[in-house]
Amino acid sequence: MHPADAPPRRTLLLALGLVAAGIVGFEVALTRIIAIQHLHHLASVIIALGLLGFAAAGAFASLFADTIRRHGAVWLTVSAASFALTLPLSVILSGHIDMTLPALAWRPEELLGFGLYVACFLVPFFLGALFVTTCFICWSGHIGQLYAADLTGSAAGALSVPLALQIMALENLLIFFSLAAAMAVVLTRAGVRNSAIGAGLAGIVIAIHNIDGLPIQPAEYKELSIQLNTRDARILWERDTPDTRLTVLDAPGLHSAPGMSIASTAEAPPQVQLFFDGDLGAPLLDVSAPPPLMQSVISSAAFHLAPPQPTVLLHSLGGSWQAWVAAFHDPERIQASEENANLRRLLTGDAGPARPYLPAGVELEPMTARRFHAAHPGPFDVVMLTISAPEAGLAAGTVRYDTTVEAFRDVLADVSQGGVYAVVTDIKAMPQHSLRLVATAARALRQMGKSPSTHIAAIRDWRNLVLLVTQTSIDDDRQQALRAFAERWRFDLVALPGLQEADTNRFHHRRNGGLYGPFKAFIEDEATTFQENYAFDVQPTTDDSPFFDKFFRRQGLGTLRDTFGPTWRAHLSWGYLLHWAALLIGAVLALVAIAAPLAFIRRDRAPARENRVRQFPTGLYFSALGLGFMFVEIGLLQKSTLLLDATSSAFSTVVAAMLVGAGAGSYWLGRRRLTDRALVGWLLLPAGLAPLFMVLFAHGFEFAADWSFAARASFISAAVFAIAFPMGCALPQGMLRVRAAGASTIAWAWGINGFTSVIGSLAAVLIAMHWGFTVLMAAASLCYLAAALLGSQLIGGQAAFPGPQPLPRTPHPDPVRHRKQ
Amino acid sequence: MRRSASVLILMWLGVHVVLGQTSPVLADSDRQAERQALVQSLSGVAPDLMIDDPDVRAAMLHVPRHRFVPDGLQDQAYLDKPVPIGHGQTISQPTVVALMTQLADVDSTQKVLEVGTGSGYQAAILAQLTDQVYTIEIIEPLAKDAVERLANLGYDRIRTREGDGYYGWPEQAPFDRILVTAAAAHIPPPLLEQLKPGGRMIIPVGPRWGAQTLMLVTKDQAGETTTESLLPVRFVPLTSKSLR
Repeated sequence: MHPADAPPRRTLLLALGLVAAGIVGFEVALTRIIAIQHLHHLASVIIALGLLGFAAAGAFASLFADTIRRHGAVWLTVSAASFALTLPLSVILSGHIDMTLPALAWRPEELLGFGLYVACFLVPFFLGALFVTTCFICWSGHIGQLYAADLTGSAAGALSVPLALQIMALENLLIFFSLAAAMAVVLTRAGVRNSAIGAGLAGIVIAIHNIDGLPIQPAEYKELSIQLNTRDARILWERDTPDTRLTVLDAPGLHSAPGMSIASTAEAPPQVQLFFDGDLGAPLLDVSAPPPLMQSVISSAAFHLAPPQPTVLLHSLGGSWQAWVAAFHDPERIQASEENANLRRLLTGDAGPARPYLPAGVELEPMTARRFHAAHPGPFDVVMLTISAPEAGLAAGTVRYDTTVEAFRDVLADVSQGGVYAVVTDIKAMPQHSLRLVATAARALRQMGKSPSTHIAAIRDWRNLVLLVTQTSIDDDRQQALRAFAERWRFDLVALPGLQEADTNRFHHRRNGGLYGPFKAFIEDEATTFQENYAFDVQPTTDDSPFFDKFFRRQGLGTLRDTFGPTWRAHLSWGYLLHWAALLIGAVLALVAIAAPLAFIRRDRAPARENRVRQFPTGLYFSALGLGFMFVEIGLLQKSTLLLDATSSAFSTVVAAMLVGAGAGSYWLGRRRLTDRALVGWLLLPAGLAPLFMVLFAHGFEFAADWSFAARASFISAAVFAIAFPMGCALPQGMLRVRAAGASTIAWAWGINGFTSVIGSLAAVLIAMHWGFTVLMAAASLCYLAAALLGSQLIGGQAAFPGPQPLPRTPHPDPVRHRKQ
Repeated sequence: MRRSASVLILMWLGVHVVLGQTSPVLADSDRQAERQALVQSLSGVAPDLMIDDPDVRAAMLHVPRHRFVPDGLQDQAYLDKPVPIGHGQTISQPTVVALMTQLADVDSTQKVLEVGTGSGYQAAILAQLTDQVYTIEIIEPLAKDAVERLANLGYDRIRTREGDGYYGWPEQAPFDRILVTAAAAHIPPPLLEQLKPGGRMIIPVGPRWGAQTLMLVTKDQAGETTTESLLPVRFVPLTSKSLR
């Protein structure tokens, strides 16, 4: 079509930027789509999907490189048009896949549904990536310009999602991405035909929007869907935010009163309910004063261990329930941390049904619990955290920084001398969250030089548990106050100084003595023996491995079988198994989509003996890059969540910074072949920086906690850019070295790198879950160290170094891929 | 050509009809054999939670479960699994129905309230044990279907109501037994109030799609209430056909 050295038109560069923005924007938006439709954002799976799409497009294009060069305009038009169409269609299709994700642990056939669900999102990634790849093949002499357009578009797409979701619905955002791709069709080639195709696509996409054909709604098994089936149920207000979709539902059957005593005769107060991604319906009370029934709510226990007229700090507010509980106890002041701006506006009556759902005078602080304690020292008499306890380890791969040992220490440092830190959670058939909480609290207290046995109390009913951790020893008066409260409202004490087993498990009978024994074990020591025999891993979590919902323990499977008989699979921590399932599916898809097409490539002439010897180090080099890059990206993403509040914000920021950093490094350092020594030097930089970043993030959090979001995002972006820049040179330098061995070697190097990137993105979460971020970053460091050692031993790399060389003019669609490894 | 096609179609139809007529399933239109096999297979979930009450087993044997299941899913009626009945709801799996009924310990003199009629199957089982069954359903289409279905099957003595089960049925209170078929975040005080001293309430606790634990709520003669969490009884794959 074009000679490779003919410069691309500006309109083509704009088209490339639009498609790149659509691809990465869709990637980020998918975290929201999946979280709304099902039960988890599956961020690492989405990253793997994006990578797979690009790698598959590269492998596919390698089969048709000559055709692409001859008919580039057609390939560009078809790929952009297909991307514009399949983007909304994949979302529509995903909503019709028969899948009950939570049943994955005990219905193997759900794995097929999960695979289909994931695969339908792969198509738009593949087609968008094919457009990008085609550009690079057809204008290979102007990589720099293409790269600039690609990176600018990609970064804009990544950052556009959290910004756009402040003002528009997720469905509309997808329509915009699709329209951007339709516009790219028009810009790709001047002419009536492309204009007509673009206009037609825009018409179809707008029609999909106008007939409300792109609904992103919760699956039928989610609580909001079930509630919407009741008579007269209606959604009063719904708003997408970067972190969650907020839905306010009004229905006649809403009667939530979490933790209300069975001895209470009051009915649940009038309410609507607030849903987060279609789940966790939290009551928003339609009252003007604290209802008297609040005295009978289990979380009131905290106020019986605190001084009168306490100062109160509430975390994870959710709805307004705990604020009303606090308001009942005549507090001097109530503050609440809530990082979601739309939720703050809803609760204060500035948005939604326009009535305040919080008691008068509650001060909302726009930050997470961790950042609040880092930025605003106490003291508070009552600090309360309410944590949801998803079933079956649902959120096993989600980082949670407000329940780590470090978090407990931070909060306790802000609790007044007579004060208490209360954590409210659910109890499962076989307790998990409650045991991990007491284990974490006990370890934090020990680290602070305090005795858990005199500082911890706990109280429960049939479903809820409140863990109470005090700043000073619980004296006799406070013990009596708590005992009286429990007796009056028929709650069971689980832990309290001097508590005997006979005093427990009275009103809400649980088998095997309830929770007294396990709590005692964790309070008196680290409960090593108990943990060794328990079905779940309930050891404390730390900032280095903050996977609070990861309870799976292989050694506990026997106990599960013995305890639950035929239903034991339902109690598995399936969220953890989901990551293994994703790794399995990802590996299969990567083999099929990346490696299989390469098998059809005509092999280069028989390699020289020296090259055959170097095949192994070459494979290792590109594998190390694929794994190392994704270990760093996933590690930084998960770690950045501490400072950026939510996975989606961290996702956008880190992905954008990685793209720009690695892309810039690839462009500046990958244009010409570096000397072996220089390559080693550049690769040793990420090898050294990766572990250091854990230290930087820990200390950076302390001083950046109260910065604005823009400042925190800039700080993270700068740090990510710094490590991504040298990482970016590794792939193009490798490609420059192996190109002498022929096109098929380049294609195979590309394939190996793509395959290991997919595997690396999925394996990174598992590594972090098991061994923590320090080990994950150490593994990344080892990967880059290995690459540094292997860089001079690649196939083709032995050719006499002739001095600086330009990039190949007609490369395989490789060295300048969208995301460089 | 056209004639050959017609002959083939006729042959296919003929074979289908002949095979259909000899099908043992169609031969037993009441599906007694399947029901018997199901009831025989019901055991329990733990040594101390066995389904061994002969009255409950007889009730399960008598009620045609397939008549409570949507048309396209009747083949699943006698499997020990829940079956979707629309509106995000399921007809509970036979083990759960049997256990809840057994734990309720109903005799013929007792008045029973069921909260969450659903398909009406649980109410029909209870009606085998007592004449005083009251059932409430909040989902309007389900309530209407259940009324019609129960009437068609001759369960005339079951009293049905469309409404919010949270408030129970005060006009008919107190009840000796209350069965709640949908989990709640708390035990509704109106239901506790409508439970007779010495009465029992059974509630499944946990997600609809996952592990559920049966909870037994008892009210002593002094009116004091206690709860007992029993063993988990089921895991429910809600086979959603699609997202809404």
